[in-house]
Amino acid sequence: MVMKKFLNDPQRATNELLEGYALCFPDKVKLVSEKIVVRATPKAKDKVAVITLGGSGHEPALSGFVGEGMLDASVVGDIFAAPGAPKVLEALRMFKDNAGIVFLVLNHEGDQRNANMAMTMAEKEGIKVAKIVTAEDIAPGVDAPISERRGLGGCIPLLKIIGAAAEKGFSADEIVEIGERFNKRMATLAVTLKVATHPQSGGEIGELADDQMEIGMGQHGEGGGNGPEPMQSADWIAETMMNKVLRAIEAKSGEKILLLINGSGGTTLMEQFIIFRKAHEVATAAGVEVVESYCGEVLTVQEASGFQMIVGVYDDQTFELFNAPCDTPYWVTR
Amino acid sequence: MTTEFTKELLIKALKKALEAIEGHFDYLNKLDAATGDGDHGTAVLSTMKAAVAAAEKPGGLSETLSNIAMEIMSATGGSTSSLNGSFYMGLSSGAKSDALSVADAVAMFVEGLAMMQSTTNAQVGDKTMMDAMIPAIDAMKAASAENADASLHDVFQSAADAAKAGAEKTTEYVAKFGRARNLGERSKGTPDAGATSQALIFQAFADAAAE
Repeated sequence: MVMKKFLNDPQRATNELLEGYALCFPDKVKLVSEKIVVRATPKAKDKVAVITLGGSGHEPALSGFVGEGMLDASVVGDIFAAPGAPKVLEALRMFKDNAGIVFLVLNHEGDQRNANMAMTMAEKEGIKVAKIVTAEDIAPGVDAPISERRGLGGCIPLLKIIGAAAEKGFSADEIVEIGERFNKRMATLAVTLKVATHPQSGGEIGELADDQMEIGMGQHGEGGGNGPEPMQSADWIAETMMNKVLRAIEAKSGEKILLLINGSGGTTLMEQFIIFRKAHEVATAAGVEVVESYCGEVLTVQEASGFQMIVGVYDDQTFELFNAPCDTPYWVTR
Repeated sequence: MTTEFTKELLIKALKKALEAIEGHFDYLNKLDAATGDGDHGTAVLSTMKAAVAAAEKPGGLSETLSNIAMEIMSATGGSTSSLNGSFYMGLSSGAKSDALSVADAVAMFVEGLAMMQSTTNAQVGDKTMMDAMIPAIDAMKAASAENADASLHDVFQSAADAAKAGAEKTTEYVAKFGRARNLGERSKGTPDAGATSQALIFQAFADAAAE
């Protein structure tokens, strides 16, 4: 089968997308050393830098959130693959004179391994790095060991909060503490209707029959939860997933939450709003107040159809930080 | 017969390993295609090429091993290069001098495995390269502990035999890591490509130490 994507040499897709991205937002970001996206105007050195790493192919994540109030740098790997540790070390070195470095790492094997290696090497050079890990996927069950739980799109609202904390001048330890507090009450559940095509190999990422969906499928086609099941109505899917998510975060009546529907790339905003409508209704019926909400694409998987339902419970501080100003190519708060 | 582990031995062993990987290139890609992306031969070949190139640069044993680690991990970001990179990082901190006795060489390889295990949770039975690595290092330790006169060749041959046996056993395992884990029971029936290539590399070290 011929792959129908706008590509030149597929092996250079990551380089070309990053070059295009930097040209598109020249006042906000720039590309250095081929695979490191940094702010066009660096943050003051007396503040903590927030950096992350991850494979490409998930745009706008993660480099789309480099900018004032969120990330200082994003180290990019190849399509769906972590960057090598030496490249990550190069990025850590760029911020060695800042008040500290907070390193957000999604829980995927390659991301964790390369992050840990880079941190070990940085420590030898006297660069101190505080790591915060997102592993908020509830598909394997809330009691599953952390090795089973993946970091999904919930890293974006978390980044918004810790990025704002860094901008306000909090220390690395304080930022990690604030982030972990939000982390504990945040969960994501994904559903896939149609898998994506890998832009380099042309192969399908995962397997799903035309009349099936899979709740819990990860962002690289990994299975999760109960496996494929017959397709259902939007309301059934939204209600089933929202109930699971609310149970996982132990949302109590009167609590304030974020409800974010993240399209996977091949699902229309029309469908996302239809899902959001029911999810909001379920939350309200449970006595939980949706105080922040969004429908759109923050972390995609090429043209996969599906979405990630991301819910987090706020406390006063995380709510305030979430609403602090930020100015990045794909997230702006005024 | 080589009596001490030196940079010279390392270069000789890595060159033999590169030859062995080149000779099994299509076979390793084919093994990987059964459960993964079909690129393990490609990944381990670029890893060994980077290792040989870095080994031939100037520097003492520990520095050379550290250079190898950096070059391997710069080559690609995939699991083959990052796991091998972590192994060489561990070897580098374990290399206490430029000419290691058998006991010191074994201690260095133990440290290499420890660094690898700090970056992966894979255990024996999970159908990964650790199915060769863990028994190989255990066999090295046992060979030098049981016989005070064991030569470098003896300990590396024990490692190679254990790695080969470990790799063969992966045929019966269900994959627990990487993309292969999606296949569940369907991942049985083919040995793991990463364990197979590690067994080839240990045999190259044994052959180099025999000369």
